[in-house]
Amino acid sequence: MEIQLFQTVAAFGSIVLTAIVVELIRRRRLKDELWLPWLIVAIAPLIASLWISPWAAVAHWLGIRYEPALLLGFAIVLCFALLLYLTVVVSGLMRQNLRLAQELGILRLRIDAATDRGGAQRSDSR
Amino acid sequence: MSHPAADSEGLGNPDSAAATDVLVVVPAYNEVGNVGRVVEETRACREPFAILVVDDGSVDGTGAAAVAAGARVLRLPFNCGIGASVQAGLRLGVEGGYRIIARIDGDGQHDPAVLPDLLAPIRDGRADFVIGSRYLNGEGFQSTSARRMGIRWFTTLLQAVCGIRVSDPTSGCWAANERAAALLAEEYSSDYPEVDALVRLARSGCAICDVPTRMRERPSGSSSIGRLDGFYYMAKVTIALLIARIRSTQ
Repeated sequence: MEIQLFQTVAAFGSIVLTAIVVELIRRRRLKDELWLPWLIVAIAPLIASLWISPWAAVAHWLGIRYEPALLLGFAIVLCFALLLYLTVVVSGLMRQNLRLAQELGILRLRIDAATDRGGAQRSDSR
Repeated sequence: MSHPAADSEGLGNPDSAAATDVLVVVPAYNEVGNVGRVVEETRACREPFAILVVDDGSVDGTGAAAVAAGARVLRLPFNCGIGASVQAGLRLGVEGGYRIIARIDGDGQHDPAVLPDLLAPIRDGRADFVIGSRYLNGEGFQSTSARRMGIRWFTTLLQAVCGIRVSDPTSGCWAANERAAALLAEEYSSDYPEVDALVRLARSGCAICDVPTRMRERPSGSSSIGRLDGFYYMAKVTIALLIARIRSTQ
């Protein structure tokens, strides 16, 4: 089977992206819960570009004459899924952030109240 | 049924020796010119209330003004938004064992003298959540015509979609009993809290009613909601309301 240029470019891009992701994992710059989706997004184009016959069959079945267009569509769906996942993660972080801010405010208020009460008791005992 | 007075957080009116089971939450963001008056008017009520000003990361000395007026101040470390401010007050109130938690805004638009009217339906056992409505009697400041149209839209939508009949669903003047307060303390929208809270309470089987109140024009400063924000708010709340109808209450 003849390998076309777009396959080579897609495979090369995928290998570079995978290498970057792996390096970030190795340096612990990507958190455990977040590296797997990135690894999937990085490796998927490599598999898709090398193992093209199923893609071509699906593209023909869908009526797509230019098969790489399906690869592009798949990449867009993957990016969309990744963004959605990250938005869910950020939403969770925002919720936790607000909760922490509330807890901090409540604790500070309680400390102030306890300090005031302690001060009042000391002045009473004198 | 009688309950012991709460105020375990020690937020009671310093002028009164009586403990109270009502916490008045006053969210405020950069309201240095108004919040002191709100606190003083609340303290001047015949019934002693615990007053908690939630300073939402103000940079103009709002917290100090509230303390000077005699309130306890819960200072959020940064601006978290109106929903998170109110929720912080609700959480403190629920944890502190207050039987009723009321809210009036720190901009001075709500007259604290309405608080007894707001509390009456809860004390009589007629409602879990009571809204102070500026439209029931049509007295006082009625807001701009554009805002009135928006509020009428939400009123219609709430009735059609959720069967909730209230005349001022975006009012920031309300009171909640323990059950309603606990529900809202657990989950309170940070962006469009009032209408979303009504849907959530109604879906949890809480009885909701409104009582007439008078609103005043803001004594000083300007609203944080601009004209464009109004349209954004309308669209967002409409979609949120429809989603809230199908959302899990857990």
